[in-house]
Amino acid sequence: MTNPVFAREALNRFRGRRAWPFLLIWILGNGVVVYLLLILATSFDAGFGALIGRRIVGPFMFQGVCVLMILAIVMMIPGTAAVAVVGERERQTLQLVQVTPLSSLEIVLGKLWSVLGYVGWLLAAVLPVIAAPLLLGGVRLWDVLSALLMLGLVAFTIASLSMWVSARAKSSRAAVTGAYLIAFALLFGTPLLAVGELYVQTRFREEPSGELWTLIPNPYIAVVAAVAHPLELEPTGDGAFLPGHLVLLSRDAASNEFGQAVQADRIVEEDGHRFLRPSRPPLWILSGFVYLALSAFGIYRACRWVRTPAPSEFRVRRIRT
Amino acid sequence: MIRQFLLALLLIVGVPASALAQGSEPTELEIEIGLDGWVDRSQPVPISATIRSELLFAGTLVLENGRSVVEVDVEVPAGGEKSYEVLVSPTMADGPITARLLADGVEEAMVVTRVRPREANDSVLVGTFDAALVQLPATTAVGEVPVIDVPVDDLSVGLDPLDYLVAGPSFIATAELVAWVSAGGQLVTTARGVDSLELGLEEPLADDVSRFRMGNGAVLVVDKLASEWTRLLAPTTRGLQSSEPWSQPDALLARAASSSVPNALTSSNILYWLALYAIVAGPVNLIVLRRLKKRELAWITVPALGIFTLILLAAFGGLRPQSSQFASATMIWADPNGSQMHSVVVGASEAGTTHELRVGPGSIIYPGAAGDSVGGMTASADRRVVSATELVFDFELAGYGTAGVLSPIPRLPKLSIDNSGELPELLIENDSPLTLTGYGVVSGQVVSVGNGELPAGSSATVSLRNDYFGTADQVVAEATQAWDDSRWFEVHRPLAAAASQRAGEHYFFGFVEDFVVPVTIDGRLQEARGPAMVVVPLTAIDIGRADGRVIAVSPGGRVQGEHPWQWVEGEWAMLRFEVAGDRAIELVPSQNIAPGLAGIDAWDWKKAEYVEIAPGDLDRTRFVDDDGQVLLRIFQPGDEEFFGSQIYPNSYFLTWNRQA
Repeated sequence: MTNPVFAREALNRFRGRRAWPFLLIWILGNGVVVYLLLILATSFDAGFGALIGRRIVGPFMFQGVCVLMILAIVMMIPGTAAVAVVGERERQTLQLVQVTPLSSLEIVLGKLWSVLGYVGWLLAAVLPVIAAPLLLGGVRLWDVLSALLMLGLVAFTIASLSMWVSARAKSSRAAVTGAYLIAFALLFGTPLLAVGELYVQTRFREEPSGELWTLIPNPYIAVVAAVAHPLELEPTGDGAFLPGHLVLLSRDAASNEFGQAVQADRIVEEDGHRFLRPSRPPLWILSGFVYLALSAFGIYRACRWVRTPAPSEFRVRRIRT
Repeated sequence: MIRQFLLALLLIVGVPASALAQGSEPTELEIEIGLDGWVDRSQPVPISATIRSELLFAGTLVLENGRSVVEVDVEVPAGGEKSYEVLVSPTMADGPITARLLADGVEEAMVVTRVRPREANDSVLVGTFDAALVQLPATTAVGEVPVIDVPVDDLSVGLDPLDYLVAGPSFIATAELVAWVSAGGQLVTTARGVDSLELGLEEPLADDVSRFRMGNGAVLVVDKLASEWTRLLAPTTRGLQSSEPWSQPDALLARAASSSVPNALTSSNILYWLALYAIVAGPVNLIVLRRLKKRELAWITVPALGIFTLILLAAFGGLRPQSSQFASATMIWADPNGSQMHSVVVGASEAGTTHELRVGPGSIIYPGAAGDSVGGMTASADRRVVSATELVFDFELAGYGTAGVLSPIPRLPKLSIDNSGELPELLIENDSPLTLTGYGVVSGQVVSVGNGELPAGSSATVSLRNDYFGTADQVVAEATQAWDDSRWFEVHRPLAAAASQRAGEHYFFGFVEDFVVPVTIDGRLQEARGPAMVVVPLTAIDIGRADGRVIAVSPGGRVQGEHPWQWVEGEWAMLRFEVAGDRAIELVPSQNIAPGLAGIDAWDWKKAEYVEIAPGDLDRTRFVDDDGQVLLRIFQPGDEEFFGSQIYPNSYFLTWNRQA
């Protein structure tokens, strides 16, 4: 707790009246959703039988929980981060912070760590819920770590951009609206843009490039790409990742069919699994760069708005007597 | 001088030889599928791989179609040639199969080749031992048909894809040929050919001296083979194979096997755990921290409680499945000759395990395709074929794998039909070693189920009254499920669906609850056990009515829905009816079908041609064959007004007065 802003927020986080009821609702809400996912997964028995169905419950649950976490990040972080700076301004405490020896970067990072720390704490609180797929089997530890890493990056990016919106907003309501607009644009807006991009590619190019640039910042595609790397031709468990996997196969193999149009020399066998030799940089790396760039932009712009104005920037109005 | 001469000789002979060696591949792979590329997708499909190598080659032959992958370890001596015969699941023959030859420790395939199976969907397929016939334009009574050359000296390739085999007098009857005819094949030959067959044929059929029945098939005899064989062909009677992977027999058996295992995962346990955790981490935690006046410790206590609960859940939650589990489902199919028991073994296991499946002499094991699981889910076990009797499941990831097993059938119940009463009755004498937990008779759309169990050594009678309504598989499953365990509906239904696809209109069925498939898994026999369904095709059940079954559609057409509630999108649909007795028959249009919507052709068995008919009396001597078969072709009117409309097989049915 070297950052004083973070230390203060960490101490105050659980003193509010709403913190504890929210924790209870948060755990129960996630529990119910995951429980419903489990019922859905085990209902596969009706189609696949218990023996087969039991083996696909783990991957199915893992994919469902990943999507749940993406939604949780998109729904929670803007609401928490967007009021971080503008709230201080509304309470007229921002100037007090500004006149401390802390730099604007320290103030913004302190707020950012506070938000991310709280979200991380909430995720840790539902650890037994979200880690259930690991216990059900069929999921590699490496897949879980890849997903967590990309989810963390997505959370950092949305928090940074929300911080920027918060720093420049004049009211909490405007900040929250703006932050949610950005988060929703990333998750839901980019697929719409991708449809337009696909139309333009097919309309004006003889051979579409296969790369949909507008999908790179999409959190869902980024998480699927991180987990599904290297791209396997036959993923285990066609759950919530299936659409993303189809997009990735289409991007890399110029085909929307599993393995059908892939040239044999692009198939790599390893440990009994068939992987696609990549023809272009992995999407999760591109997404990672985009997230880091967006985060840097958000923090930089937030710092610009939070920094103490230089005396020369004050417009001195002469009062005529 | 001699050295110069040798050098010159070497230059003359050696240079072209070395150039030739550089031009040819050091390792060659040749793949053949089915019979000259033709396959029968109701049976496992044989693939023959011939590898030639100039150097010692050790590696893996990988056969794949989409998600379905089969591996075979291969080894060819230097300068040698070796053939490997592999049986693959019919589902795998849905599309082109790619074969890749990988040397040990090398990632890149040395040779890649592709083979495309062919299937005679809208035509009969004729094979011949006489290569000259292959050259003829095969315009026959049923139109243009493909004719393929069959190697007379090697019938091990399997004759299953053929409908007819045209054979001159100079051939030797082999066990493969006899088995093929007995299973339903039609052999066309001359009188001399029949003599050389020495097949022990039954008496010639009464109304046609040139046709001899043999098992489910027949031997057709003509005087002048080359000119007359074309008029003997009748339209295809094999029936349509479902193109959907999950409705093919192997997939249905896999589903039945998987469903027979009770689900040990009780999700309500997890709910209790989570509710307890939420209370401890939330309100209880708050009360404790408030008393300590250290609420900020929640940063540590909540994650710590989460980790603690996770450990408890892992240890006592019962979430992790058994390390290895196997189940099976079996179709015990009683053809009079050469029949085999068809089982599918499903194995589920945790990551990093290997299981060896082995069958005894007289049985065959083959790897299931990925689509043989249900709903196209990918089986995660790699299936390595060691031989026709040995297969290895290699679980890199936790998951499941499937394998098909063909083995000899056990003794089955004796059946006799009594048509003399008001309703036909089936007398069953169960002198088999099997206890039937549910049994009954399917006759067209009439399904009758016996009461209770039928233990080994007992007998029972089933009267054919229509007690149920629905598709045969649904009715059979509903009628035989145990009321205290709904799991059996999920077990019986796919088995009944597989039986319904393969059987004719009339058959006896019985379920066996716990049948052990003769396959050892890691040396243990009892591992692969599960449900079985006994199916005995019946003839001559006289219920006074026959409904049609779609057996072919016009090129490009397709069938939707399940029998008997199907519709056909296409120019025409061919229907097969099975009639009993010898009374006059009548073709009756169903009330809900507009009259005149479609034209009707009936196959005239005497003239060997289609004849346009109208609803009403049907000449039995012309339109019913010796086995009671009637073939109708129902057409779309071709009118633009009806373009795109559908043909309903239920549009017409045949009726007659019962014998009694």
